[in-house]
Amino acid sequence: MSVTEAIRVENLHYHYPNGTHALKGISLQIWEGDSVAIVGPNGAGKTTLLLHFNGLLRGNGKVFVFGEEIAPHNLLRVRQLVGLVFQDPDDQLFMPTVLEDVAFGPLNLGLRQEEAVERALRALEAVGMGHVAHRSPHQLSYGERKKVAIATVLAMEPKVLALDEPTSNLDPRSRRELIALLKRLPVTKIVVTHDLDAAAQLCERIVVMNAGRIVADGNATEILSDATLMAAYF
Amino acid sequence: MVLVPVESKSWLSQRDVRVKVVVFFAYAVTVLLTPPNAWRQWAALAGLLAVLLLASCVSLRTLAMRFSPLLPFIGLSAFGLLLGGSPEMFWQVTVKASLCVGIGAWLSLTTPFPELLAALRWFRMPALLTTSLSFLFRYLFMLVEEAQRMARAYQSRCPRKQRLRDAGIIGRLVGALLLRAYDRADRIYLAMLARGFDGEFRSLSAPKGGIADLATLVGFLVLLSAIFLLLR
Repeated sequence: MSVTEAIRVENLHYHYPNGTHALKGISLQIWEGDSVAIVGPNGAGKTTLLLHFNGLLRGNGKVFVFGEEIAPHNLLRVRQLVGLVFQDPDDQLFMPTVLEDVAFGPLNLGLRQEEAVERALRALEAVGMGHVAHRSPHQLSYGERKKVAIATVLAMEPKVLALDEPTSNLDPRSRRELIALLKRLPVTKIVVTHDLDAAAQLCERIVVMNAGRIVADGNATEILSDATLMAAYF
Repeated sequence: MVLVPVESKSWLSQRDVRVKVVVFFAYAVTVLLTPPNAWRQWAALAGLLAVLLLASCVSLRTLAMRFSPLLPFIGLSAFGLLLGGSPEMFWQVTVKASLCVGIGAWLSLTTPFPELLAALRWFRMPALLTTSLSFLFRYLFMLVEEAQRMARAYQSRCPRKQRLRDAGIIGRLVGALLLRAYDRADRIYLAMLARGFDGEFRSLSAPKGGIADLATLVGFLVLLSAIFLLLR
């Protein structure tokens, strides 16, 4: 049975406006159905790489999403296919109510209001937050905002879910609930994280980055068992 | 405080927001159009406002707090009286301002701000204005929390009582807060782009009203007209 290629990155370089060379020739393939963790020390370029997967950043090199190279004419399609959940939910929740926030994406995809609201309510139910649809984000706890932030992306029905530090700043219970939720979602997952335990629970494959390069890529158990590798980069 | 209404579950509070907006504007315009010394009309309008507030089960304490910003202006106006100002002008300004603040307080205490924005969009208020108000509502609380955190950090490292000469440091803290807000705005924009934003703000429209809302609106307008025309 053939597996579809979800994301392919070819020799990607990226320089920030201040001259920082954040990505130095990244090449990577992620297949549909994969659960991949991208780990590494601070400043390794993990988040920078993540922002390339849906065209928010455009570096030198090529990024393909389901066989199509990211280009200005297909950005909406790419952003529907690759949903990005930011580290800080307050960056992601910018509307006055939760329902408006979750419906924001579907409305931008051109859905009618009724369909957008239906998708939004389904997405909220999927993350267990259906009861907060008419509340304002500032009335929710941090853990609840994290879940709603995921719902804002799920409502667009992406094939790939890219998450930046999903378990950061969560208490142990919220962390367990979030990991359980993410495990249930039937999408390709790319998780940027410092939480190696969460990476082990969520992902079968781990990519290790350091100083803008990929230094290791393999089975999660093998990577995490490599004491030399762990000592070098963590 | 203005942006956090009391959760009122009364029948009147649950009317269509658009009806409440029309009620607000109709009442305010009627008050402003009353001539000087229109005591009978003012008394009737005050009575109508009292009925609205009672029917909406608004808390007296919260209502009183909404009137508190008006007090300095009334005080200034009273001071003008001492300097030889006209009592007629004083009463006109005081009564009209109080009635208008009262109807504004009623609207804000019975209407969640997001619903108010939806109604304003329905009335074709410019999208730039409603969107700006929407972001203001969402992020004002965050800005306040951020400012409180910075103030706590400052006080932890400056345990003595603040003096006037600390104004420079406080100014720099405000500047830092603005820079953080700017950085956050950048990230919010990326989050909007990631969800397909193309420059056009699409939002959920206000829910449609029913017969009860129409009847409420008509009844109120009839009452207002009667007060304005018959009590001259």
